[in-house]
Amino acid sequence: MNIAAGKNLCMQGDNTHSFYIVKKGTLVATFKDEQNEIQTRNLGPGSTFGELSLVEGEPQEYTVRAEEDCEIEVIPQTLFQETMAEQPIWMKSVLSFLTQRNHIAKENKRKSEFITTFPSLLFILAKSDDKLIKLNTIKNELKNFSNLSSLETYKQLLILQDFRLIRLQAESLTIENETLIKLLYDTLRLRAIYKNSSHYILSLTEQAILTAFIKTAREKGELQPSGHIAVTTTDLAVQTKLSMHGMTLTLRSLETLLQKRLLQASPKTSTKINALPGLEFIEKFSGDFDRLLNLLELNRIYPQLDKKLVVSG
Amino acid sequence: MVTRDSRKTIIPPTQLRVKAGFVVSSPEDKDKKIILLNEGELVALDPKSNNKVIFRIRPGNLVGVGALLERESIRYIYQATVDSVITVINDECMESELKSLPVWLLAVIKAISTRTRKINESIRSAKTNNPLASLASFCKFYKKDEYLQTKALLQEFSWLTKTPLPTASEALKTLVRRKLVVFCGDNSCLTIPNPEILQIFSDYQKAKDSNKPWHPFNLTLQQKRILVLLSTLENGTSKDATAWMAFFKERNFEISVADWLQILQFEWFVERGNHLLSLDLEKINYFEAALKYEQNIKGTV
Repeated sequence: MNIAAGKNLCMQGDNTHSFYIVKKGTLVATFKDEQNEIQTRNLGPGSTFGELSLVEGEPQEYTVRAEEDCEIEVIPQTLFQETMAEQPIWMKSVLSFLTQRNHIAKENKRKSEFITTFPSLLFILAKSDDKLIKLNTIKNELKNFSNLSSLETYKQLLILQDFRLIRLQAESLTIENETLIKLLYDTLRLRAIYKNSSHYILSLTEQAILTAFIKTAREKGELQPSGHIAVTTTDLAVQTKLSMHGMTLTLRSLETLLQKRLLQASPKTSTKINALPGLEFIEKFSGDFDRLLNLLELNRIYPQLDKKLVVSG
Repeated sequence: MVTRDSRKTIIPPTQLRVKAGFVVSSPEDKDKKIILLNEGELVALDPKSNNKVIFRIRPGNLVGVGALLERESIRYIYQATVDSVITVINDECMESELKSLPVWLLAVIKAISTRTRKINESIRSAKTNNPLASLASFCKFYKKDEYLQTKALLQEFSWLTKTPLPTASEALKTLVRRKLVVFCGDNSCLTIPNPEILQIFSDYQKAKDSNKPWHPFNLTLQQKRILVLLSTLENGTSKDATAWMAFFKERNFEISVADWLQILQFEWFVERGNHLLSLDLEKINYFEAALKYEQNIKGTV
């Protein structure tokens, strides 16, 4: 068929179910993406388009306009069906395999983009000076890192809201826990770049002791001049035993927490000696209450994150 | 006019009956082939994971299309789990069949394959088209004059955007040449003298990419003088359009309606209801900074 300069050959979303081969002339294909941004592509002699519309009956992807007088070969779906009926059965399987593989590739790309863009979103939030951020600002900033659609970005924000890191409003969001966002981002960064787990990720024993510490601190903690909260070794040992199914507090189980400087030990000043083996000369343990709470929260959400990203993506 | 090629000599596919345990295709095979399972069952075993079963193939399904049509490597061993009937389509058979197809159908097959290959490539490639604009946007999140480790910064950017490290490194050098980023000592660390300019630079780059005129560098002399005048006013100063035009005329600016409409495109004013246009000093400062650092932004320093 011939098409005059300036005329549209097809519109995005049209159900023409045809395949086009440009024989002569130049056309411009425009495509409006989910974010209403227009992408363009030039189609010169030898260019083809509409293959998925022909094979799978999908709507046309592009609005195609002739830049000059053009000659186009149009393959309608009826011709395609007639031709395929003449082919051996396995040829249909090959074609169906190719289209299926295309769908799988598209889906993989979407999922990969969803998962790999998540750290960028955390980066933007972690580095933001404001606690109240417009969703449009997030969307625009994220465009510098990836092509994630608005809908997918919103799904990621919902994950963060589920973890109580942000609160979504109609057109903006409020950062609820800035420290935890930074901790989570750093943990992902260390895992990806240095291939090792961050020291923020705690073992089950470490988590159990810190949970007991928090509980003890809430009930019997003493505020130190440094701003840390201190608990006595005896109280901590009792709480550890109580809440952790009879677990005995030992110096060995506390060692890594002391090394990571998450807890600090205060030596005995009184003559009264507690009965805990290895801990006889430590009167109190202290730590930064808010930091420990954030670390425990990080250790709660971190194992759920990968699964949430896969399920939501 | 659509023409259909006449059918040429076709080499038919081979049909085989195979016993349970027979390996029909493996990564070591030199000849690429498509296997269509007619009856029975095949399993895909991963030789890299102790021949772990990856998936099962049911009658009607086929394997090896990527290997035959795209010359991709075969990843798995395909083995019959029960006595099965398969159709083997080898290179010669496929070639003879493809030769008999109309040219347009070959074009359809090629278009779908190319499309898939491009998608798969894009999964592995950088997530942004302009690494320079992207790196500038990334760097602007860091605090002014904060000492940053060059290697760590590039690794972090590369991780977030999938930009290859050499590309990221080149982009960083471009920012350094424009004095938007400053290396310290032996280049192992760097500082950002003015994060705001990096944002402006990124916006300029994006406008260039989309072939759109970038307003700050396209102001007329009168518009520049109006910009300077507006920068002396308080943020949020509000007037309606007629009052703003009168305001400019009082200060000897010959401003037509067309000029005014053009100024409105610069977004120096925000609509506040009741036809009031309120001055956005942030935007004014943005234009002023762009003009002040024009040489750095354009790379003519």
